[in-house]
Amino acid sequence: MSYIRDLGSGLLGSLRIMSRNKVGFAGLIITMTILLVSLLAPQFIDLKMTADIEKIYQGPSAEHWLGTDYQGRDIFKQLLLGGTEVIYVAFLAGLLGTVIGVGLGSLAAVLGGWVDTIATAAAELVITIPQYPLLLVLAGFIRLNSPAGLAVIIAAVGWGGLMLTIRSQVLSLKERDYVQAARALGLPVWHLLLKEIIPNMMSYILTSLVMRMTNAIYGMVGLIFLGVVPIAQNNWGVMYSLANRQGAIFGVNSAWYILAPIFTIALFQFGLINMNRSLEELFNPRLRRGE
Amino acid sequence: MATSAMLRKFFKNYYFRRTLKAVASIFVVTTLTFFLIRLMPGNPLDIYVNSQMQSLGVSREEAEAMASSIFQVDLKRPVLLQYTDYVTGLLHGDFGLSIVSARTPVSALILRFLPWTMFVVSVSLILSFTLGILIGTLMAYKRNTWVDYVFTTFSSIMTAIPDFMVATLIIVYFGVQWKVFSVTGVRGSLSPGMVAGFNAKFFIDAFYHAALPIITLVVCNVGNWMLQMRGSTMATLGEDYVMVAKARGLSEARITTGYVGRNAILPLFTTLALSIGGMFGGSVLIETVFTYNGIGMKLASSLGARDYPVMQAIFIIITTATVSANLFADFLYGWLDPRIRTEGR
Amino acid sequence: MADTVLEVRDLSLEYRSRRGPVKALRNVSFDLYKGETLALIGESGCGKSTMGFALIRLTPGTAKITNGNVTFVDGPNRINLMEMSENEIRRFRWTDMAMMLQAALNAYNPLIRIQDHFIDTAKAHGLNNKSEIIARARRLLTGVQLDADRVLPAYPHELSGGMRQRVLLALGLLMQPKIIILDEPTTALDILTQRSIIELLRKLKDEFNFTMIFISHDLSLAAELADRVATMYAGQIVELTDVFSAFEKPRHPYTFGLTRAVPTLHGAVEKLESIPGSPPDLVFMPSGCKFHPRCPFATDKCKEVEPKLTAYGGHQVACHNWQQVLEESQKAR
Repeated sequence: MSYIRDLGSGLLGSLRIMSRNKVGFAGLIITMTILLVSLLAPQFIDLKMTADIEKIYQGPSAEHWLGTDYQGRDIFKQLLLGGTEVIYVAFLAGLLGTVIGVGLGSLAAVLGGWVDTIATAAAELVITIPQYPLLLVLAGFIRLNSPAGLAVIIAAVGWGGLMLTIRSQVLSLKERDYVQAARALGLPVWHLLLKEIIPNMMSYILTSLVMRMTNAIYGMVGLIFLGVVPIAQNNWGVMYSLANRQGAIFGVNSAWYILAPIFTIALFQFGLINMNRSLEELFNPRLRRGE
Repeated sequence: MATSAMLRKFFKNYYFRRTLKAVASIFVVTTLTFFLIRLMPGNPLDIYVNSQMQSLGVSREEAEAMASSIFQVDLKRPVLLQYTDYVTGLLHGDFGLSIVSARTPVSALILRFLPWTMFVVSVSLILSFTLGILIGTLMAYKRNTWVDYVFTTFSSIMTAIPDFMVATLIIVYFGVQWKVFSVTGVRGSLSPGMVAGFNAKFFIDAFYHAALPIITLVVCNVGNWMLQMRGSTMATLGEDYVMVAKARGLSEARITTGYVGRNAILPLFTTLALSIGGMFGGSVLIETVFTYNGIGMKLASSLGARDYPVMQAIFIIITTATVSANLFADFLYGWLDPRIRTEGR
Repeated sequence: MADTVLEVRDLSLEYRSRRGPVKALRNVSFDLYKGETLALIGESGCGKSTMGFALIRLTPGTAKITNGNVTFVDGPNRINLMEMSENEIRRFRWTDMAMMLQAALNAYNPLIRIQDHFIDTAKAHGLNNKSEIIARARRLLTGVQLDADRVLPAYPHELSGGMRQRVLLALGLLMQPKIIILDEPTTALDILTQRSIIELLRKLKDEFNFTMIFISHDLSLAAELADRVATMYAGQIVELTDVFSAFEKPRHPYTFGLTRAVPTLHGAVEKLESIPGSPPDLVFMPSGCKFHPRCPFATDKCKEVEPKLTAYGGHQVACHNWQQVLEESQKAR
């Protein structure tokens, strides 16, 4: 019972801290809303959307809030349904990239020796190879409609910078007094890493997670747009790509079809980036005090 | 004795070792991408045969016969041998022949497409960096005023929209709906019939076609530079030597440029070098949206056709650009910052 | 009495903060006499560094001068610093009054040579002849016992801490200011270097005949260099007197406490006492006398009425119970 109460008050406290930064809190609300809608929409909205020749490229109306696409299908419904996959890939790729970067970076710094040499060389290689062209080539290996595979290749091309930064941060943190003190007490290296070093870098790690997520969305939508990854299910990136191919740009009513996914993606990323400010307040006590 | 000592000193020299490392990394990337590209599913022959069968309605045998007369490269040759052939060619400055555009040297294709991308990328980079420096400094001096808030909001919005989507937005609003420019007219890197030459007509036309990609890249990148410069300037403003300079009675202009600005820009040079590779790579999408005939669009099309030598060459060029930009930034940094210069590099 | 060169009246300064205004200076008034050395002493956070800035109208960060006047007396001319234009005050700094702040180690632009610092400074004050500037810098650097040939073309990071402090003194004398303010001139230097800087200051003062204010928490430095001592507490001067009285006959319990916190050669170490408690919060200050929560002499009156700085002969003190303090200090000696 008391555990639950503690958790509750902890959450409330966190919310209070996060609400201190207004823009950040707005970001949090935007992100959470889009997340919730995208998760719940498939439960309530019919997935099957049949073409209706009568209704091609209609402007917004009471029936179709954002108009219809080149096959007369409702655009708003597509938006509601099209977030799941984008968010899934963004989150998975972001998480993977961050885990690889943080994991390898701290491993290299803590262990040193040949582990450090190899990991650092690998990271330097990854940042030297042109990122987007490499992604294009790797995407060629994905045959089936595989969001997870997409996430993996996006994560694979984008962890180098994070790894190098984490490595140098851990190296400098290792020299700090309190870490040295803990070491003198005979605490194992892993304990130090998890209890002392990683928590200290939490706000930086979160920032880079958010950056990795927005990069993943960029990568994914771009790949779909170039027609490099096979399109299957409807999602925001597919909408953008189809709208381009169907010439939706050129009409006033049809423009809704291309604008809708653009603004949705922009809103989601805007939410993510600003939410990060609130999270920074939460994890960086120095910021919390302000000024 | 003296010669060997001099040689040893030369090999220990920072600049020499740094350059050696740069060349090595270009080589490693080339090797890696060489095999990666050829491991990709699908090969140029099949793709060509399929497309001929579809578009011309010929049989498989006929299409294969057509292909064999066009394709010069023996794709059945072991990849390792292909690799040694390629590297040998490279060392002689030969990028090989394109598989798809028969008998066209890759170098000719690169020369045709690269200048456009270089033009767009370099102009955008210079413009967005300069603007970002100026606005970022302004933001730091006017921190927590409306000027600061307006630009902060602008940059957080601009980082939220992928650049190629900004490109689409520009076409939709300025091209189609408000008719500021003709959507069909700005396509390509030059108007039809325009001949390259050293005359005003050519330059104006080139600028006209490059304007949209440049505007897009500047608008999308300036926010990042602004925020970085703002942060760097604020940190510098807190330095003691700035306060001392004020106490010494130096003019505000001298302090802003010679004391704050100069010190604040330094860390941004490293990021500038890193962003060059990213901009080349990202040109694939922007050039496709604007149908701008640069190296990015060429990469997309050669990827679709699996034109290995062309893809390979583009990889080498972008990698070389990234690596040499980094190298240059390193040397520049050492030259600009006396603290690093004397560290006995 | 000697001629006055600087009159400070009711000088007040506030920093903006989220918690409210930080009152770093509260109605500070004093006169600075020509040729003297005045020491400003106090714990860190008492407003003494802020005072150095405020005297040349420099306001760090969010600070703002809210009240008061600083008048510079130059022969028959009386110039009010608060009424000067931005450009006038800029030229006044360093030519008439040079304020050298604490961080001599970090006082130089790391990207330019020492000689450029001299040139920048001279140009800001209308001297444009480069060779003349360099010649002057050379003389001054030699005067602070530095090898000008080595120092002038050097970058700041190539000089040691003591050298940087000397260069700052030379730079400070470049425009031959009438008043020099030194903020913690010897902090962050090792003991031998401190010694030589003190000797140097004495020598320079004889040679250039300037008036000096130096700000320090180091009382032994004050005892050695100062003619008069001003004790600051909670943004105010609480005692201002000649150096002998300050140390031997203090009338403010805070000065008394400070002097007892310094080990003396003839005093045993056990006598060393530090003042209990810490400096007050400058946003929410105690009522009455700001020192009363830490004061062993405090009475009910101290909690309600803030004492004003009042002169008794040449000795100014802001304490209701100064007589008792004086008595106690005499007993302690």
